[in-house]
Amino acid sequence: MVDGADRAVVLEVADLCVELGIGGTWVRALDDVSLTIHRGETLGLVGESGSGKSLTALSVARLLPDNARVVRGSVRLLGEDVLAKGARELDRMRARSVAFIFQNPTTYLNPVLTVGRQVAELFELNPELLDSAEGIGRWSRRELGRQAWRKSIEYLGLVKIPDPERIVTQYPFELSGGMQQRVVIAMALARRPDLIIADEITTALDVTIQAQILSLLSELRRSIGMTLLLITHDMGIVAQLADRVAVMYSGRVVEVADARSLFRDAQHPYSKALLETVPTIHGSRAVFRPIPGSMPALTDAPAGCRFHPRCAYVLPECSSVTPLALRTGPGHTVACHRYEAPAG
Amino acid sequence: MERMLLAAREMWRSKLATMGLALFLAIAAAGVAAPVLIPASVVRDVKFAARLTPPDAEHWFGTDDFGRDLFSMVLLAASLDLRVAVTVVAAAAVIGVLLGALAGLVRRLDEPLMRITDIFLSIPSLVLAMAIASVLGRSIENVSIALIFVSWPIYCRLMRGQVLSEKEKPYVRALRTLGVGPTRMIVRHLVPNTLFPVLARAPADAGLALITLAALSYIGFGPGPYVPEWGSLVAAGQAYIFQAPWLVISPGAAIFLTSLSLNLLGDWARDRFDPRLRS
Amino acid sequence: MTREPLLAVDRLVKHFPLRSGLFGKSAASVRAVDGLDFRIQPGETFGLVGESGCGKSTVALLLVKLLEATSGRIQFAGRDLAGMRRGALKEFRRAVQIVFQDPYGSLDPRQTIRSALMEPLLTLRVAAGRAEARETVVRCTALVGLDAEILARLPHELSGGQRQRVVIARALAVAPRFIVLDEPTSSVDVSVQAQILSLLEDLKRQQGLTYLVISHNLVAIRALSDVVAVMYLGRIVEMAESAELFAHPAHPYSAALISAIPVPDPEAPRVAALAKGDVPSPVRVPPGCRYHPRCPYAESVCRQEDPPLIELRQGHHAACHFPGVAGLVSGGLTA
Repeated sequence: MVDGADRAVVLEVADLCVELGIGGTWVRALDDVSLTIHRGETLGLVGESGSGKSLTALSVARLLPDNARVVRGSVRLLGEDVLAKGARELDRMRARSVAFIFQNPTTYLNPVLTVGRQVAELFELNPELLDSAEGIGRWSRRELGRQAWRKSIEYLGLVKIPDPERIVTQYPFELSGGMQQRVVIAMALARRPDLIIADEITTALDVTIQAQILSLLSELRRSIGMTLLLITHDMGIVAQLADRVAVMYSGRVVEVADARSLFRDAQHPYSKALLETVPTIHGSRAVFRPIPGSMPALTDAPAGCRFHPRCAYVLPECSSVTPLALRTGPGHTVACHRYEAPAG
Repeated sequence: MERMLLAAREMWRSKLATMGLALFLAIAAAGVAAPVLIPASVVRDVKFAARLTPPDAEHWFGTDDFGRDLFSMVLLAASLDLRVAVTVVAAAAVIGVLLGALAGLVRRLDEPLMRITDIFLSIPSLVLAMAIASVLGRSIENVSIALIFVSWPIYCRLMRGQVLSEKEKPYVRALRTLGVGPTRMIVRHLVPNTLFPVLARAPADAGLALITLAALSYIGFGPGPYVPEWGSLVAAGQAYIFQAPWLVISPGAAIFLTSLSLNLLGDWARDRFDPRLRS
Repeated sequence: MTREPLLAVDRLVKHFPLRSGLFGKSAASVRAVDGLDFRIQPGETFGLVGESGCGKSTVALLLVKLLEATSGRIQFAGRDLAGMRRGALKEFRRAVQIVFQDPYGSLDPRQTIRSALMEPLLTLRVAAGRAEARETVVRCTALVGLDAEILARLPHELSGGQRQRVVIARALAVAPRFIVLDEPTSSVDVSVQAQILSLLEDLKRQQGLTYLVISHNLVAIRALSDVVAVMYLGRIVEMAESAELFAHPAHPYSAALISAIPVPDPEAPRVAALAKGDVPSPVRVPPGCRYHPRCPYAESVCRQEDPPLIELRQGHHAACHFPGVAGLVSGGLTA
């Protein structure tokens, strides 16, 4: 489970550079971002707001905002270059290969359709997902509708919604935030996508509900082998769900490692600081170790390593030379001058 | 002051707004200059011999059916029309905003005030204006009063809505804990935050008032042939539309250009100030 | 050795009637706060934890007199809040301040920061004149670690962290004794949260303040509080000293909350003390123990009788028929 080198690569982002048009100039929002996700693996993408993690996720499906442009790099989903696809191929990819789950389920669900209708619709539009033994082609519209309805109840049960036969007839507003998010997860799973991208999916939920959703995802990972790109700012969630972790800061990936290695031996100063800055609730009363300063605005990005103004281990070259990603161990890369082999 | 300069610089960036402003200023200049440069006697200077002459070097817009120089008439009318439009909107805004603020702040006054505005809003503005004008009599002052009656309800509604929603904002609650009493809250916080979006409507409204005034004159509720007014000029010229189309074209164009410039200004003001349109 | 508490709350109740029926008679009400008793000692940080619908935000509003209680009593420094009038009210407003959850919403968007900070000094007559007020403003700005140049700015020009500091400065300006902090870390990033918490700790020590911190973020509560009370559907279900509560939670809900926090350690064992079902609505409070529908340990007595808040050990109170049943042991979390 730890070494994914022999498994198929589902997503490969290489040296992706995306710029945003802000206030009349182009600003580098993603700078040489590289990620890899293998089949059945959960990659945790960690960073604070402004780090570029959501933008990276949107780039995977080319759902970039109007003021964004890709300057360089590639995004390969199952070997195919997403950035080169035509409109129709892109639609198909978005419908079948990649499924998104966002933070606010209310805005994601259609308020005027029952929950059951929304899930069933997916099956009616993509009957091959029903994979029934009898040839689907021989079904009437009504039969297709019935099968789709049955399947949607099945999927709602899969996400542990209690009493799915009743919930299926309810409208989104009648459900709590946690239930709505489960419905969205069911809709994502129903498509049987190659990759699921979950962006801060529990941030808007109460903590006990968050625990339920995380527990559900944990189980689903094991039972159906999801390939998941999990985006969050919470290190605890990452520890619970992720196989590997990528840490982002100000548009760059600063460290990638498997979860155990990162928590035991975080190498990049920012990753280290991030782990230390959150006081734990166990043990003695917390000691805060806030990171001085704040993440720079994209328009004000420091030269060289973007973290250097806040770094406790800063070296002279950090303020002028951008550190490249270096391999410091199996599956562990860091972009920091401290780990460079000394010259000569 | 600083905020006005910032607003002025922003306006400069919007070409449409600048055009609108330029146009409006040109017309306003004409309106201001006209009573000074053109003797009022022109209006009574009936020369039947020269009636209905097409535009030429002497009469730039031609002459009307009384033989009066149409150019002078149109310019004099500019002065009147602009004055009326601006006064009407100013008065309507003041009345509407005051009543609207009252409705928003004093719950007991809300219902009665809203029902009154409902009554005014349910009658088509032209019909209402006609009714009032016919009761009061045909003079420019009475027509202005009629137009004020027609225009104030919308300001009242808007201000009330703004005040009600502003009252619920978290900063109002926070300020209460800081000892800010009701008077200070209204004067220093609620009004500045609600007034500007509501007043953003005013320029466009002036354009509307102008057209309503012209319409009233056109259908005969206006001040009469001896008071130059664009609408009545159009009405008078209507009978001769095939013989002397310039009688209708010049005042009509004046109405169109003025309300266009006001609307351009109004659009810009709304885009800038209306909080509902802010993302 | 009980000193005179700074804040004393007794049987506090706040119900919001819902209008229903033809003539607007209230058939049901939102039982936001349904009987609260607690004390806050001077110099203490009291943490109030709970999820949405538990009533903690309503408590905040009641304590700063933005809402009137339906019944019960709140006393600050021995004076009853109810019926406070002009002079006493001004004094109260100077002594008790609140920092709201949304720092951007708490500031008048058209006011410069300087003006916003000066306002309470003038309305509550803390400063003798404008000159003194200006000095105080500069001092408070420095106290929260902000540069004086932000004073000329407008709220929308500042970052989230800066705004949070500004509203804290505004509360400090009147030299209060007691500050209610409503979700002080919810609207800022993780790294900024630590800065804010650190700042709050420093300020408390320097200015001799007493805090009531309201949050759903247990980590922040644990970090700041001396005493913690857990709220559920308008009641306190457990109250104890911070270390004691997190080490030995007696009420199953407290245990569920604590174990729900994802631990940043992949090797940590996973816990099973999860609460079932959804967060309930304060309109339909379950009979008996209000937590029983979600409690994995509920018995028949829990469905029938509402357990009172009783003192189990010195300073540790819980409202449960089977306190300690969740079986959480000090230091570790095992099901």
